[in-house]
Amino acid sequence: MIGYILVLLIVLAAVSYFFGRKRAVRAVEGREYLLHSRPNYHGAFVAAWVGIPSVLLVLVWILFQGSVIDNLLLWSLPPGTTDGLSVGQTSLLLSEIKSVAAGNLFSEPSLVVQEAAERYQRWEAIAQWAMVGVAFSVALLGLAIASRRISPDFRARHGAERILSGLMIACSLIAILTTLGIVLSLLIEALRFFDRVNPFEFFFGLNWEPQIPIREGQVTAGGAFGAIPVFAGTLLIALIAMAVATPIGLYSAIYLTEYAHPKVRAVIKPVLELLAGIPTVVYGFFAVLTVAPAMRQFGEMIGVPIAPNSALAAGAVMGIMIIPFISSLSDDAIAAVPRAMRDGSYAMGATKGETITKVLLPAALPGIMGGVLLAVSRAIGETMIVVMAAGIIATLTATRLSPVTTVTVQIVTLLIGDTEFDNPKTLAAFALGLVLFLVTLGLNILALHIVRKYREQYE
Amino acid sequence: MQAYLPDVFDTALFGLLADDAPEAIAQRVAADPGIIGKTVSVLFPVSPPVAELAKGKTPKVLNSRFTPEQIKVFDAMEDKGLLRTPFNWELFFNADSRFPERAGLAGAITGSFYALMVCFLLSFPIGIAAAVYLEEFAPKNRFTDLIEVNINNLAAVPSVVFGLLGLAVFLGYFGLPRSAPLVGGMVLSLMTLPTIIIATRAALKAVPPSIREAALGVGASKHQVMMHHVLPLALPGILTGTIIGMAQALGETAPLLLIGMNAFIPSVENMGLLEPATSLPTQIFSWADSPERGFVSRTSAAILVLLGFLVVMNLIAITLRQMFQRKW
Repeated sequence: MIGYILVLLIVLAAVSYFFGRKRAVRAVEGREYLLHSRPNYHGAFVAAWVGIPSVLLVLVWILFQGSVIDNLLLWSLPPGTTDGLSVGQTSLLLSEIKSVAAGNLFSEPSLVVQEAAERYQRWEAIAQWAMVGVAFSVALLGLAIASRRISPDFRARHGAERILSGLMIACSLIAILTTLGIVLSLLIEALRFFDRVNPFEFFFGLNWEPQIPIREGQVTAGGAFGAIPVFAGTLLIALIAMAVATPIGLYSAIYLTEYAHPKVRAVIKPVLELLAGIPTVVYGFFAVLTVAPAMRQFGEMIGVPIAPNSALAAGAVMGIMIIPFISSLSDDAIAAVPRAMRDGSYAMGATKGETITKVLLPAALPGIMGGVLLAVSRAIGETMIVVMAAGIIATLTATRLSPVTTVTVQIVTLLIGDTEFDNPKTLAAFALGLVLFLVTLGLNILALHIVRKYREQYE
Repeated sequence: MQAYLPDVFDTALFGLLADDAPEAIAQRVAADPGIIGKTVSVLFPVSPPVAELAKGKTPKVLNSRFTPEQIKVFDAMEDKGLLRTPFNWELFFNADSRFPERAGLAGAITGSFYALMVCFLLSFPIGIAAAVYLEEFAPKNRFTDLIEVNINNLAAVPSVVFGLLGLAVFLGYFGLPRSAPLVGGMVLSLMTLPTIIIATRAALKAVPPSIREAALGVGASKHQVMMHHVLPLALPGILTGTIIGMAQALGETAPLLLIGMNAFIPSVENMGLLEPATSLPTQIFSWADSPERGFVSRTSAAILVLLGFLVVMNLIAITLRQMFQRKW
């Protein structure tokens, strides 16, 4: 329904483009040179006036129709019905009313619910037709206003260009809105979480057992939200990943910039970058199916028990995923070292190896460090590999061989198949998300700062 | 099969075939009662353990998953050439199923297609408009600096955080339906926007200033220079960046998992933008998580399909770049 309305409005705007065009031509009786702006601009101006306000109105209407009707429904219920109901129970009541209205009867609904369902159906229909009416009258109003302004002297091009500029500014604001949305949604949910759970316990507690008894008297752990084991697991896996990726990425960058024949470089570099294009779920499958069993077998061979979901397998595969990051960023950093420094070193009689270790690497170090920091933030935020290959239960461990869990694993497992927003279990995911967002953001800003500062040194 | 192998029991036979074989036979007889009493040859998928046996992955002797009779039947079938390994087209045309031998990717491909379509329709125009504004029109001030820093940082935000955003804002606040490709596409478009904006800005920068100056010199307005000259010349670069962004979005899993786009879709009918759906990467994830062993080979096949799509998209991007790249 809403799709059809939008399509219809866009068609209407397209039609009014031709209408505006024609009207402009008719205003000067076909002598187009008399117009200030070309007829196209008159058409575009009218189309924008018809299309933009009405489409915006429909979008805003959709966003708010649901919650307005919900509130009206709750307000219209007989007094006392919603007294003493929690937020969750109220939303349950609402969804019961809606499913009754949609014709899904599971059991005999109460009279109150039936009446509310009828009201709901009626209001939905009214709202829908009201939206259609309002949207089309706004469109026609736009048509009237815009087409009245068409005259030989009207500066339609300026008008159309101003509208276009406004649209472009609105589009570039979306980036800010996204960031704002992320920060606000994480903050609000995390604050609700900290209402229920002491922040001190969350940041310093040693016990992570987010399972909460659903029924009364159910035997589960009491629900402990000490996130230290989760943070420790994340750091451990990121550390292993970096231990794999840093040397391989750095050495391959040195080889590619300093030693490799241009032909070899032309082959190896795209192949390395191909690694960055593989979806992480594929890496995860690879970790579970190939790397973890191989490691367990190797462990059996040397007599060390390695758990199948140990940090080692997940970390190693994550390291492989990160190699292209480090290698291409180090590549840039090494290539950015001025030719003169290299030549100076050779002129002093240094060998190639000495030049690399004594001159190039120290000079490129800030750039390489920036790359490594970016890679760390990538490793911390990486989800699918650890969801598939690492464990779920949080144990505080320093060994690399027993199962560990990470922040991202916890976010995914806490939220899969659970939409209730008012229990600490799901809210905990948002608190973890907030920590994750802040840490990765900090790392990125730091890395970019280092890289930029270093770049300026040689310019 | 009974005619070929008279000395075996029904149960031993059916244990070898796919779980839905008895039902399928019953349906076929019901549809055409005339075939009762005749010998009809039909082809069925075998059950996953048998498939592994046929591929030589598990040992024949002392295999706890087969009775000795079943092994005998299997050997006899193999001797008479009754086992075939045709190409499994069902992988592309079936939707998901609980039985690995029947499960296919049709639902996942459709869901991914819808989500990517939404993602493209949102992020392509918005990305270009934002990039054009920032690159060509924006005054240099603190506010535009803020937007730029923002875009660069968004590109590095972990994907799972975008999933949290989608869950809290699109599902929780706006009340859009869970598991819907529309929501998936919206979340993915927020993730691809920075990629497209950055690529578009690079493409705009690559158009030489002489073109702009020439157009301005013959009296075009700033907008006309942009729309008539710079943007068309930059379009190949923009398209390349967009396709690469789309390829990233196609492989993205975590945000889709969080908004529930890993629904079990047993049939492709009545899939829509607002209906529950699944996508290729989340399908791979659910299959990889399934305990049945038959899903291991299904998962691998699904990964090959996903990688195939990615390779095709990247090839298109590369050819576009090479066909239209100009040296100024």
